[in-house]
Amino acid sequence: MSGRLHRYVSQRSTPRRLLVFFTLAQILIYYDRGLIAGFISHIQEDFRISDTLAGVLGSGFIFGFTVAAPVFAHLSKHYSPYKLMSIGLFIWCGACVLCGMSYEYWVLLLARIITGVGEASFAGTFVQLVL
Amino acid sequence: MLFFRSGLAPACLDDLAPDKERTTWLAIFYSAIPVGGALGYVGGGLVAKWSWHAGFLIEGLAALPFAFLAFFVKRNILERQSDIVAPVASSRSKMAEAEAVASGESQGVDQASDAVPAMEMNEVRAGAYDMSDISLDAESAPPPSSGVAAADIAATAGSVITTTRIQITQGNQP
Repeated sequence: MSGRLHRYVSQRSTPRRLLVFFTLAQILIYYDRGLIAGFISHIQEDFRISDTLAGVLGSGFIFGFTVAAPVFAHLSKHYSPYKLMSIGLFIWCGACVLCGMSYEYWVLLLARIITGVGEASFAGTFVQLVL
Repeated sequence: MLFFRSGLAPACLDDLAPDKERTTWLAIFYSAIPVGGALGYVGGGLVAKWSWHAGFLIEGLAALPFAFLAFFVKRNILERQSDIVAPVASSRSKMAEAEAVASGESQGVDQASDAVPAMEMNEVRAGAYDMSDISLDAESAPPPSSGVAAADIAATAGSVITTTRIQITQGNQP
């Protein structure tokens, strides 16, 4: 089953389709960065947090991103970049769902940091694909 | 051109794109950053009136197909090259040998090859890419008919790689 899917997707992954794939994924990742800015005032009302904590929430994913980007970049020399990208996007999905289900400030902040880890997999491996 | 490739540009697209469209592809890819950000601000503002929890959940679900697809892409260009080199090499062999003889820098090549392994793979892949559409069906194509043909292909593939090394050596020296 897995082998057939591998063949099916690989044989249809022309460079042009990969461009569309990368571009859409990139749009989604940056959509996430804009999304928190739109939500932040509502989150601040819900959780009744100070401006400082709201600001930390807005930039929280950078913590995860900064730590994870070099790690993914290093791993991409030893493992398939597409696999790492996939793992990162799965982490990203999980973190987004966790964001959606969080009703506590610290859970949301943790989920945002994990979101940063997922983003790092995309940014880090994408540049490294050829090196 | 070499400097551009060795920088931190998204090397994958740089590698995948046809020569003439390379800059267009990079432009399309990088246009995703402001577009995505703008969509995020608008989407966030619209969804937040309803529920910001749902906004995150929808986003997470939307990313799921990308994660699945990325897992099943096995377009490791290094692996594909073994399929691709054969048809390309036969057409290029004479040119490659002529260039190798003309430049006569075979001694300098070995020293330089350790310094720029990534670059030489770049060149080889860029050359091999032209045939990628044809080679997608290479698995179903019949294998070389005789041992002589296989040896010939291996030799010519070697000469293509040698030529690219020479080009890089010349390009890096001021």
